[in-house]
Amino acid sequence: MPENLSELRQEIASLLPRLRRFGRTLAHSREDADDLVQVAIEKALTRTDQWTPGTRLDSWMFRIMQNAWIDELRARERRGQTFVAQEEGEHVGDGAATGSQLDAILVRKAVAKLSDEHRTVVGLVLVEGQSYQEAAETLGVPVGTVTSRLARAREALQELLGEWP
Amino acid sequence: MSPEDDEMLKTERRRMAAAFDDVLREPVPDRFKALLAEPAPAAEVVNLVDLGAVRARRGMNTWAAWGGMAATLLLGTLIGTRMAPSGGDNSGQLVATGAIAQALDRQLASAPGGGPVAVQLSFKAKDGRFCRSFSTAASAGLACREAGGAWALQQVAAAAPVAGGGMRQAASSLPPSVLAAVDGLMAGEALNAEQEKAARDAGWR
Repeated sequence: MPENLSELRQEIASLLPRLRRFGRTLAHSREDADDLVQVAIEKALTRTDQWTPGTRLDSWMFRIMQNAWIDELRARERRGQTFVAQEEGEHVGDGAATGSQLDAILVRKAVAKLSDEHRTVVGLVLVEGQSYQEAAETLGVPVGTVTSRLARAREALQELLGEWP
Repeated sequence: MSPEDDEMLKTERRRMAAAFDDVLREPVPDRFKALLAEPAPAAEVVNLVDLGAVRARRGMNTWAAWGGMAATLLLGTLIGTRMAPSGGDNSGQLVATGAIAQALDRQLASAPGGGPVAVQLSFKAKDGRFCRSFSTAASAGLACREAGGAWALQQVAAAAPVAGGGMRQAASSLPPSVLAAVDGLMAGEALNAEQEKAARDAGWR
């Protein structure tokens, strides 16, 4: 348990933009992504005793989000909900999108097509910039698993995007 | 990892970051900030008496998504230590005490006083009780007057912090869970100023 709970709250608050970004790599819509962040905050605040001070808070929060997302996917499966990917059209303004905006859309679409396992390592290593080791610790899997998942994910991206990177 | 692969990874990271970085520049939704907001010191604001929290929670199972957790936190961190008088008819309920009970007893929504508790709305519930919504710096809720005189809490949620530090909130800024509770309980219209004053002067009976 952190000595200072309010410090932990503040630190989580300062991570919010990145938590939302990780949510968007995991989840299929902005709404799902933000709901995921909310669930993670709630879970984190009820489990502050499981937080080890001195370890990385971002990794801890990412892990909570990742587990919550798996739970959500399983729940949807049980409810028989099929998932429909959100169209990315909203990201393009009325005018012509710039080249970099278009590229961003293409990349997000490609990431959305990856499997959940692949999307998670892409989110942690490529988007959040974690090392393989850090990602392995976040997910609680061996480094080799992260390495092979990321390799397959990168291959898949290559196929989807052509001249990747 | 070979230097070549390392370079490729860097390029991929740059492209990937560019694709997902938009969200970093978006304003963070208030609901997250509200979840992480500091609870106000207990003595100052909330005195909730826990009369069998487990039973009470079972009875209050309609909390909306963000209200549920927030209220649990509130109850956990801000719970008062005073016990309600025994023999009341409100066992198993959470009742308002202290500044909140006082405000619910006396304060008129039509004549806001600027104290630590704001009362937004008074109305008659379908079961005939008078109910009032309130907010403090840290919490917002809906309480209904029991026959024994206690204000039984129907709904409690963490209040979104008000810009400028003001205590008073418009009814429209009440948390959705509290508004939903108001909606579910209200029999007709909210009391107007005259009806509200009459109800107060009659002791909310």
